[in-house]
Amino acid sequence: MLALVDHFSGYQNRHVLRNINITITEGESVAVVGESGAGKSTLLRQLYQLSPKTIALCPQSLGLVPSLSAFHNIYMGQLHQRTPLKHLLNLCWPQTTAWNNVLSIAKHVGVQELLRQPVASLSGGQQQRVALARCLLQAQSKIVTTFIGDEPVSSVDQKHGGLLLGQLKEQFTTVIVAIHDRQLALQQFDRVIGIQHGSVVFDELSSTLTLQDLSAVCRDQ
Amino acid sequence: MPGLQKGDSTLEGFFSKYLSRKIPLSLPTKTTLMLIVVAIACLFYADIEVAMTSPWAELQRLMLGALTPSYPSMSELFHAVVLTVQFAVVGVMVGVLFGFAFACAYQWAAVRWFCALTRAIHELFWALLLIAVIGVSPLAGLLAIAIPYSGIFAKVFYEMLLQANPGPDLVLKEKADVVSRFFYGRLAQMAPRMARYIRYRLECALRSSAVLGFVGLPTLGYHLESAVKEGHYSEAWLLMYVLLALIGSKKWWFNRRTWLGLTVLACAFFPFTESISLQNLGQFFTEELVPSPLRGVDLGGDSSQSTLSLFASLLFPWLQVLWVNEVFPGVINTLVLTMLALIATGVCVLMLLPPQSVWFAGKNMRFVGQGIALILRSLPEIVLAFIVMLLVGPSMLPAIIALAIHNGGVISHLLQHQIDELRLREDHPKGLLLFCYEIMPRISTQFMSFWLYRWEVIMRETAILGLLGIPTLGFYIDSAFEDIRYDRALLLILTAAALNLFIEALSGRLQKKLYNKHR
Amino acid sequence: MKLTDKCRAFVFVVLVVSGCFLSVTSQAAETLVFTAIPDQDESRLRARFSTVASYLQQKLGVDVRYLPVKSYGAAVTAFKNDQVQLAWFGGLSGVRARSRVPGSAAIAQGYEDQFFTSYFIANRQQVPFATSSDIISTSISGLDGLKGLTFSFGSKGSTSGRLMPEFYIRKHFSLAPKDVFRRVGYSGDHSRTIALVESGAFQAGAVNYKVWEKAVAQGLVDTEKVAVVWKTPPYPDYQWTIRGGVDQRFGHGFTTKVTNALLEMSEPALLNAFPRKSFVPAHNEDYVPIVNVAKSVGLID
Repeated sequence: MLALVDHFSGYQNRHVLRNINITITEGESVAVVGESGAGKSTLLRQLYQLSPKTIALCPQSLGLVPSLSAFHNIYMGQLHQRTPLKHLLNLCWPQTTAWNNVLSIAKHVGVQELLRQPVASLSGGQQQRVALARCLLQAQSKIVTTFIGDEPVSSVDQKHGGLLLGQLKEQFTTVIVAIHDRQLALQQFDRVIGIQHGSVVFDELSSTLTLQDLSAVCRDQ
Repeated sequence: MPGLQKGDSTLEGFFSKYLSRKIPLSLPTKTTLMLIVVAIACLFYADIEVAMTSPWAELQRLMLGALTPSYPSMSELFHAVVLTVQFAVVGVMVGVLFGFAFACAYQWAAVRWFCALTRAIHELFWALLLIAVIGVSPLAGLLAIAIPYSGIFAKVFYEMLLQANPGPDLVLKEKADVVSRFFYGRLAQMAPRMARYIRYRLECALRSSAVLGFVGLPTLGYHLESAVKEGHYSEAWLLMYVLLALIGSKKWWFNRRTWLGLTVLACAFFPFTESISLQNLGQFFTEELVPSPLRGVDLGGDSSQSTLSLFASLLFPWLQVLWVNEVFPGVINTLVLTMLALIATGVCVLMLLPPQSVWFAGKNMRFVGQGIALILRSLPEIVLAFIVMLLVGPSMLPAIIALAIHNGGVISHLLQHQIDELRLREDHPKGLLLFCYEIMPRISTQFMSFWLYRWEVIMRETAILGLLGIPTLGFYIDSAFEDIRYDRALLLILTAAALNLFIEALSGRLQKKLYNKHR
Repeated sequence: MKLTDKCRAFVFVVLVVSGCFLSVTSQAAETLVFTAIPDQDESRLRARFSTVASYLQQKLGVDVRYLPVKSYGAAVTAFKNDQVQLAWFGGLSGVRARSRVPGSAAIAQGYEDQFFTSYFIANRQQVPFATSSDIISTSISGLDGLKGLTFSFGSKGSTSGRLMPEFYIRKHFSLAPKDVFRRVGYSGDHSRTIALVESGAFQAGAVNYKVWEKAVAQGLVDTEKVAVVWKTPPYPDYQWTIRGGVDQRFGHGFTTKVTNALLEMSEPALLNAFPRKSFVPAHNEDYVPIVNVAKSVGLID
């Protein structure tokens, strides 16, 4: 369970987040909507800080290493497990088991053909898929049960975005995603939180919301 | 499984099959492996031995000197500091000016070759050549810095301008004139990097004051070289501390606000005293540079055919003797030493980098790490080599160690800024894995380019380590100058330059390959 | 912040300006410039030779300036290029300089330079036969024990640190030094040769006997660790050389005037700069042995 109570964050006299009260229980899938600069990323980061060990994070900047291959970037989801020597070996001389494992994950997000290529040579959408695959690999560890993503499917079209989000919900018990696409937010998530100027405007089940309701907080789409 | 099948279907022998079985090794890894293999091959040829020495008496004096720095004449010291700064600033600024001009015309092969030649010759050799031509004068010292630096600036500026994001330039295309496009589209982007590079070069130029010392100008390098040579360690250390302080405090006295004023002042008060004698110049080119067997040979031969064969018959034995005794062994020793020093430099960088970076070290640790790097890169290689030689005796080993820790200090300093500016995801791994997975791959291209660039630098620096009894090309060049045999010196310098150009071309190709792969 | 930066910049500008005024030296129309090879105690060269410059100025009645150089080669180059008209050369550098400037002449040498020698020194711990007390013999077989050691010469252009030692090594072994010794280095300076042999970095070396004796007298060398094992036969060394044509420039009989001024030098403070007991007349022919030796070793064509 992740909970922020009467939470403020930001600089001394300028709050990015104001008086936030959010509780997310296990098994929920939550979409966070709001304009650019409303405080979505900060909110997600605060949630991540609550329990970094159990959460797979996909930041807006993706955090990929451009010069490494897609395989290595996905493999980096395993680095938290305790076999540093094996990891170093894999960096220089990829092992068959690791490759097969990464390959199976890569198929889920459709980048199995790209594993050999350096990430820098991939398109924006392909890079997002690689970053998601890295998170999915973390789900193999029993401890990591939650996914937090900041616009993880923004460069993918609506149909594929939906498929990817479906994958995430399948692999993780709890999914929290900031999203611009109002339709996806309503279709794919149980609950939607609207943010404006650092405050929660609404926090409802998606079944009770309409596209119009969402337009109030995210005009820029 | 497409990933597997592809590798298996290509039968290119066992080795390549094994390599391409999974994903191929990354290019930086491959390059590094290749260089290490070459270095190991060199190790068999290398002249490495550890002599049983009892260096304690000398080391004690050295340590005592570190604790009791002193200098007999404060006015001389002050004068030396002023002159050092003056030469460094004027030398670098003249270099920047010409370098920038050349960078704009760098597409032309002629300009490229000219710049390559100027920087392929070490400052020290420029100094020696210039003294021979225009005599022991401040101008010779200034040119000895400005000429090779122009070549270096031209190349670096050109590459920086190429690396600029082409976006702004494309947007401005068809809408703005060439000059504005250049300034707004490219120069503005790269200006901070250029400024940083110029500041770094100024640091090098301060160190190069040793070269000006060689010319006989009383800079810090002049006094430092003498003091170390004679074992006046208290003086040597004080001079070293002053040089360190000068380099360490550079950002306060050479920055956005002061550089222009400083340059103007340094130029205005530059001690031009000597005038160039045309007679000497003429004699130098028509007599001293002519291979000795051809000197005094009657040029008034009637048929060109016989003159030519006469020349050949005179020149050939001279060339052959030089080739067998000096050029060939010099080239081999230089290459071997360079390769080994290169690998050792890489190792040094990897060890020096983490303690300097925000990702791995706390504030205090960083202070210590950066301090050590500053000391290592500020101490002249010749001093380092001397200290190491006292410990392990003369062989290639002190040269390798001295070059490695000096250049390791330089590269790790340059990389540290880049590492600290990286922005990583929040759940990045820690420690060794952070270093190997997140940091090194991100800076690998940059690391490679600094490292491979240092290849050339190391090659040039091997020149000054003749005192170790390693007959590198530089050793023979120094001997030729000492013997006032400029004809031999020229031939050897041109050989060294050719070797440098070869290494530069090779490292350029490697870099290009690495760079393209990541586009 | 801004202000302090400006202050710093200002202070620095003041320093630079004042320093530059210091560096501007006044130059008269006809100045006699002389130099000396940096054979030892290089950092004191300026101090040592500026007293000599003022002595000569007083004796000759023209402005005299001393030009410091960093290497033997640079001294010869300066002489060749007429940057200096008078120079205190070693045997080899003098020969090299005179061969390049027609009309130049050796005019005076130190009393000791008529029969100069070089010492071969060895590290007592590493060289078995050097363990007993100093064996200063001139019998050439004394060199036998040096074969296969690591050996350091002084500067590459030095007569006492390179030329004569190499000559006797070649003469005795009929081999080039690099084939006689396991490793050959050039320390660049006599004092450093002593330091390197004392530390054991090199097992043996060759030095100027004057520098060695001075180092022993001043306690700069531990004679428990280093021993003199051989001494070369005497040869002519250092000398004052003057360019041809100075008579036209500075007035008739100038060469004689300079020679007399040098020969009359008697103050110990002045003579210590070299260090020599006194100066005696010298002629180009005195250095024919050096020319022959240098040719046989291949150091001049």
